Amino acid sequence: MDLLALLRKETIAVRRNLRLVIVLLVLLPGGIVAGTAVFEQTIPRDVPVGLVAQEDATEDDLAIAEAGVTAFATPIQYDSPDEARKALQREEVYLVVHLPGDVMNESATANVTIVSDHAFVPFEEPINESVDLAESEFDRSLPAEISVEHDRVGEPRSLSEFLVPTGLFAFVTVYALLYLPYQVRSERLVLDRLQTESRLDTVLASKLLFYGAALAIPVAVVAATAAWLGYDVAALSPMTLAVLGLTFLYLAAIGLAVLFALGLRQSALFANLGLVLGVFGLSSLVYPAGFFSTTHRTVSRALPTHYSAITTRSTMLRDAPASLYADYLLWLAATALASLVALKLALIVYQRRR
Amino acid sequence: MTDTDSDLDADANADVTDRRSRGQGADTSADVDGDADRNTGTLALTDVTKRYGETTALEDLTLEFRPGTFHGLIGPNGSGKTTLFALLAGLVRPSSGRIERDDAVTVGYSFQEPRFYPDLTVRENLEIFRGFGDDPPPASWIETLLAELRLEPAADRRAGELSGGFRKKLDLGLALVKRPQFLLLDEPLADVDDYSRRRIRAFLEDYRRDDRTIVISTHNVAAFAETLDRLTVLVDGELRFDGVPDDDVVEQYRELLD
Repeated sequence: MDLLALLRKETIAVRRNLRLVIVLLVLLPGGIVAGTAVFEQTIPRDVPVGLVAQEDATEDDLAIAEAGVTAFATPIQYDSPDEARKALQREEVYLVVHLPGDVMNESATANVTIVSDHAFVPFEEPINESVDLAESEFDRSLPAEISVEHDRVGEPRSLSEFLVPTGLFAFVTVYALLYLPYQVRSERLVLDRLQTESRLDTVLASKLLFYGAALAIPVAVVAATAAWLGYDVAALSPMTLAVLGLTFLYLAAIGLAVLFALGLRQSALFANLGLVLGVFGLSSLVYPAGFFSTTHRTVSRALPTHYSAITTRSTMLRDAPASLYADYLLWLAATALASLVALKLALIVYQRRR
Repeated sequence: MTDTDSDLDADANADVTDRRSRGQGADTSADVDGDADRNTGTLALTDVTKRYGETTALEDLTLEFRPGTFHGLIGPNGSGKTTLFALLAGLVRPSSGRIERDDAVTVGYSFQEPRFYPDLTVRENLEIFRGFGDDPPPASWIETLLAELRLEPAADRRAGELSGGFRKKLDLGLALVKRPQFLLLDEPLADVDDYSRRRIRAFLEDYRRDDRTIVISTHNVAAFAETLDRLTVLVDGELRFDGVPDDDVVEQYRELLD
């Protein structure tokens, strides 16, 4: 009978915490399963690939080559190799195909060059797959004898080095979306007193400032550990710190907005856990946007976290000027501003409900 | 103003003076900055109603809290006392009506359920909240509070580890730490031992010098029967009485409830 009484208690507790139960037992598993829909394939077919015509290539050459590229990727034309290389460093594309002019000449041998970036290490193996696919597609669709050459730009990187910025980004996501809301919620009882002495906005501003500044500690630890392991990563460069700071700001503001919109309830922490899983699954952190499906690519390209990951990786691994990522940084700053507005609105809702 | 107010004003002022002379509490004068803390501000409600969904917590309430008074806010559980304090402290907004509170007025609030940083010690909590003021009292005020509220034995313990009585006294200390002009105390003696109760009552009586106002919310009218200058009785969110208390406040309260 004890067991029956205890089970009855659990049933009542579930009824009392319905919001938490819905988030934990319905929305989270439902979201995870729904998220799998964007993972359709393991051979890249929708990865964006740059297409650059060399001087003697015609519009017709390009059109036919583009049709060939479409079979294994999503082609994007660029006017010059320099422009295409920049797009490669910005991860707008993950390969660049340089098309010579004699591809329509049946008696000629045309050398197509495919360029990839050393910094995107996990794509190294799939690239070989894509290069093979490209060679067979070009051979099939172009009259000339096609030979494909594969070039890599940038410093050779190990998978370990690649994972340092990715891991750091993942840490910032957990720290901002889970830890900070958890910390604020743990002080929920004192918030009433704080509101008699100060403004809730000021209390949260102090949290964002303090925990944002404290982020320098894990970054320094990452830099020191990476140096000890002999990795060549610029974890402490001003640009890296700026990107991580902006990323922390908008993720923390979103996490806190969810917390206050849900009245500081436990369910907010699980809702934020759902956001963390979403960020990890949909931001194309390790594989290129479009690797798994076009939907995955579209979702990734719409998420600021995707650009945070690219910019963090670039500032730590690539030797590229900051100006190359100016629009990404602007997008991150705009996201931070919008997130702060969302947080302010959540605070208004929280206070009006009282 | 309520209809009981106007005819009792003159008596009330006379009674305030009379009752103040009875205060024999601890001498806090050494830490008081004189005119700087003198209460000249306003704290009042006019036609205030507060609803939570379909529930009306307070209905059309008009009240004024006067400088230098020991004001008892009495009523049974669920009568709206805590809601009234939350309105006065600015934690909730009225559904209708107006709350008058001068910008310069300082209000300290001791909550029914203590509110503090559980990870900080008693002393650290007091120091942090003292720092919120633009013109905080001297640091020696914290030592005075630790002594008068009998918090010294727990001064260096983490607040989250305190027993119920110490938690309540810490919350009272936090309400007092900026030496506010208006002090709102919600069941301030709950869980507090008898000896500490006497010390706290005496301290509070002394504190209201320099026209500071103490508003005590309680359902235990007997605990402060001897010290009240003014009595407000709330029942089911409505004002049942507001004026000078009778000599036998307990009996008066019983009659008002009946």
